[in-house]
Amino acid sequence: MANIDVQQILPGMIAAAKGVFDKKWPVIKDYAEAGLEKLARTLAQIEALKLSGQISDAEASVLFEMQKNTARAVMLTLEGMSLLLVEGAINAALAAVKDTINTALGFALL
Amino acid sequence: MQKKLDTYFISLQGAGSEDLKYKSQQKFYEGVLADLNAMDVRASGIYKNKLTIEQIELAKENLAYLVLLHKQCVTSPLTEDQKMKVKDRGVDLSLDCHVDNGATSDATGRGDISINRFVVAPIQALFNQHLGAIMALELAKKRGESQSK
Repeated sequence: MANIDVQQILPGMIAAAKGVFDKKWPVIKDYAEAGLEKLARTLAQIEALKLSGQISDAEASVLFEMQKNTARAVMLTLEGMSLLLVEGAINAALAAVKDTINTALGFALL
Repeated sequence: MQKKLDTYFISLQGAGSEDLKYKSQQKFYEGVLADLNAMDVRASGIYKNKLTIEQIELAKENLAYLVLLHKQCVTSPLTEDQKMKVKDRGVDLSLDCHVDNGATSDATGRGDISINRFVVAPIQALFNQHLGAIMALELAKKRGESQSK
């Protein structure tokens, strides 16, 4: 069995994440790509240790489970960042029209 | 906390046989769990903080796996039942292996068991990335707060 090639699996991982985050992708792209590359490297490291016999099947299965948990934590950061950015965009849009709206209404709505 | 764990993993990779034993590191793991519990309490006290709380829970789960690896309580690939037990029961800091805490089988007196040095480097990378992800979200929240002021 051949070792995992990070450069071979990374584009697939990025494409999958890009599909999930869709329109929010451009704003989280930098952090996401760096995070996914780190995950791919650790995955390759675990696989290499397993193939060389330096860790057992049992140890590899635990490391893969830990890897999944870390991947979830990274995805939660991406989710949080995208939500914050959407909220930030809404706030910025409202701030831009704040004076006009408040003046037109005659009271401070925004 | 990230620095504390990173320093621990660096020293473990070059440690002598006595320091590799679980009983030599049991107190360290107690300290890490206490730190994660403190983070959990603080995060739970903040309104709309679900994502961070979940990240901390996942870090605690990974600590539980690290302790199981150190005591060599997992001797065959993990089953779904074991994973559920780790999630539900959390970190087992005793000197024994318990099936109820995700071990493959019950065993006593694991204090003299040494961690496989080769698992340390990937675990170090995973904890660094995991705690980095928590910090990145916190920084994004702070930036979001300052922008909305």
